[in-house]
Amino acid sequence: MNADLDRRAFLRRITVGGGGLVLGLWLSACTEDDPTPASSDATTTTAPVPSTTTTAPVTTEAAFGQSGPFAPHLLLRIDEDETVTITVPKVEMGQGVRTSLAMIVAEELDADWSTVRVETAPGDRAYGDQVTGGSLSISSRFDSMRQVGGAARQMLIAAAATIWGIEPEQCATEPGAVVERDGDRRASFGALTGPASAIEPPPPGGVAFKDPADYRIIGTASGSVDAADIVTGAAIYGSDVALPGMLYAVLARSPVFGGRVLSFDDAETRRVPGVVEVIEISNGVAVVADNTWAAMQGRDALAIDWDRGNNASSTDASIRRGLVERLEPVSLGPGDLSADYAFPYFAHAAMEPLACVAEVDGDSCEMWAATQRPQLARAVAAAETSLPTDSVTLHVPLVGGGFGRRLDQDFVRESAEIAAAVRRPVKLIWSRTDDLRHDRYHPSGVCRVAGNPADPTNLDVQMMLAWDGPVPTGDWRSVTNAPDAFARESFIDELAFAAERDPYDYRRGLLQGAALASLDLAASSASWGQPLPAGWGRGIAHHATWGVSPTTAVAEVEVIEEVIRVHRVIMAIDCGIVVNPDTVAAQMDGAVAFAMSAALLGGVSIVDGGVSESNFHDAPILRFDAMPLVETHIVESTGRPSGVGEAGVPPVAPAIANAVFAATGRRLRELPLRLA
Amino acid sequence: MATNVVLNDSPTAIDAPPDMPLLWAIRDLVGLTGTKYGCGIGICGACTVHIDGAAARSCVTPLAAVEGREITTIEGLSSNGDHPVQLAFTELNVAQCGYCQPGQLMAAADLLNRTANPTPDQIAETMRDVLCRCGTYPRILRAIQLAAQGLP
Repeated sequence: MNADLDRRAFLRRITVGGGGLVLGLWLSACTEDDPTPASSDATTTTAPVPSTTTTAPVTTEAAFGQSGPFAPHLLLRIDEDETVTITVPKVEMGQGVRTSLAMIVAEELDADWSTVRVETAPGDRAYGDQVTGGSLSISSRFDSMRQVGGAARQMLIAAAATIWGIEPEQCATEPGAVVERDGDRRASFGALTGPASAIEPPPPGGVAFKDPADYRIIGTASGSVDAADIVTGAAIYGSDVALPGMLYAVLARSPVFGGRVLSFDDAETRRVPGVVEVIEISNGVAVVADNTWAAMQGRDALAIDWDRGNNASSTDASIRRGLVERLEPVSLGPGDLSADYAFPYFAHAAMEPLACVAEVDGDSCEMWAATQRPQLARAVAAAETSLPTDSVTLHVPLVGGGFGRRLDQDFVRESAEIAAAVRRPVKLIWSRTDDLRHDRYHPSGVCRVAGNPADPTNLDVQMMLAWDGPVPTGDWRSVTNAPDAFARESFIDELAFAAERDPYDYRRGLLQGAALASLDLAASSASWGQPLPAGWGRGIAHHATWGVSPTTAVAEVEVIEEVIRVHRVIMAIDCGIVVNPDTVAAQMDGAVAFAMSAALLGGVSIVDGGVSESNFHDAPILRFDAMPLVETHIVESTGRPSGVGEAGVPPVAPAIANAVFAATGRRLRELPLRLA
Repeated sequence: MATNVVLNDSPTAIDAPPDMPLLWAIRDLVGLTGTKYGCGIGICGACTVHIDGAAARSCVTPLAAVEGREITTIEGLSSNGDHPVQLAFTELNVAQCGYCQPGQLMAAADLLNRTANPTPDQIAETMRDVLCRCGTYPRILRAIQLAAQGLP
């Protein structure tokens, strides 16, 4: 609170001093970076350090006597106790963005990393595009986060130079302090907060970025800013938020996609101790209770008559028939091959089921939503409560797994609707069964690929995905890249076999540059070509997700009595400048686990217009004992950073399928991969 | 009707129906949210706590079954976050989203209580019962081995 007041006071003072326009522009410049590839000028710009304003102190005593935090930007505040608070405008869901985006600011600021604390921005336009998806957080914010840190560093240097009566060029920084280059004067950032607040910020583009060779934080494994809270249970996820007097809600939704409530009998529900309210909302019947268990018991006791709508006879088979009918026949020339590939609907199945806490109180709404789209969540809440967006506060707790599921705000809409009706703080909780049966699934699909072994650069690919239709669909880690890579990279393997070529060597002729480097690094790291034990096979696949971060997977599998066991997966990725190599490795582990769940354990089934699976017993995800050894190799690069969250997923399934072919001679063209 | 337990070393009376799973009592009534809900049927391990020193799935353990017993949640695993598994998981930066980690840590601590130096197979046998969607399994393996060996 004090910090906020101080900051407002500071802004007012600057406005009086004539620097308000620049500061205002800079404050509004919290935007995505220019998506065009970075030019090297970013590191060679030598804009002059801004001159000090007339409000700058003239004596050391006065300067160091000034109090209050230095908050030069919406995303950065330095307090007198040396604490550097960095606000991260993207959402943390396990991809490490609270750490890595803060690392970028801290690097250019030359902060002492041990003094950095991180906050997550609430949903607000002021923070630029907050959508967290598409593996874009680092690449879209690399420049703007460097700008925040670098500008603040220049202001701190200017403040110290003024106090010392020397030129800014005679100053340098070391972690957490400004120092005199040819002297022994030193001022910590915390001691400079007051005078730095009086310095005019440099204009956008007027910041000289560090030479990457001088990086101390970027490129290091800086741990995780959330690790201590996670291992002690103190970390707060969306489903952990609790407010005084809060109620708990679960929602009975239609068992058939597109169905709706005709009528319901809640007599038994209201007899469940703890049940407070039963209310019909647009998406079903909500049971509100004073604890989760009572709400769940109450929901079980509901008798609902559903209008099952038009989808009640839909099945996987009927949907797939519709897709196959849309495939064009292929006329094959001499030596041409054609193959069809298929895959089911996939669920996200994050470990944290969806949850949202909302309090709607007359003319305001406050929400806590573990969402990947904070601004849309806020807008949805505003629409649902008929409040202006500015009256909605949207906090973003930690997300217990996103994978694209939380790009859809259905759970936020439900939560707002319930809270608006109840007029008390309410936490909406989805059960695991709700999560599996009311997901926004990766669409089932079929793919027909045709080509000639003599010309693998010219493939005819027809992809039919069930985006529309009875089953709700959405973005699932890597989206269309996964089926595309499964079909193409399996087919390339088929062409290589037909051409009697080694599949790695065959692919070398198809790739170049960073993609070829990734292919070669994976193959050499996997000792490609070296013999494997009997019953084993090695497979390779390559994909550049969204056209960037080329990634190669080499899988080593063993087939025992028609069961596929993946022993080792080697991943090689080129993702440009690496902010946190530890995170890249973690994301490759995660990509392998995520892709293997889909490739070996499968998706969900559509029966009678709904999903039949209900929990991890019939919709399994990969367990510890099925996890292979994963080795991650990073292609050395000075290119612009590109995403790593999705890049590892697409090549894994085809690498495994190709390894199964190498082991058994059997070509599996449908996920999940099954030999028996 | 109150169930009396010793929760993280504190005598605690929980006033709730005896069939309420311990998970919801801990989270909603006591207000300790480190113990997570993942499946509700005892097969994902996110809700793992220790009951009288042994790992148990709190989502399928009714209050009636814990009268008079000692319960430890992730919040009570150590006083300063310095249990060997907590130190090792932090050292190796195991967590990604972190949601399953309390369950992983409680299962791992129980394993090390039973078996001071578990083999990789023994680790897999226990840890296969705690699901992670982010794929932290390889680091969990290394962290448990590190915790068993003792941190430098």
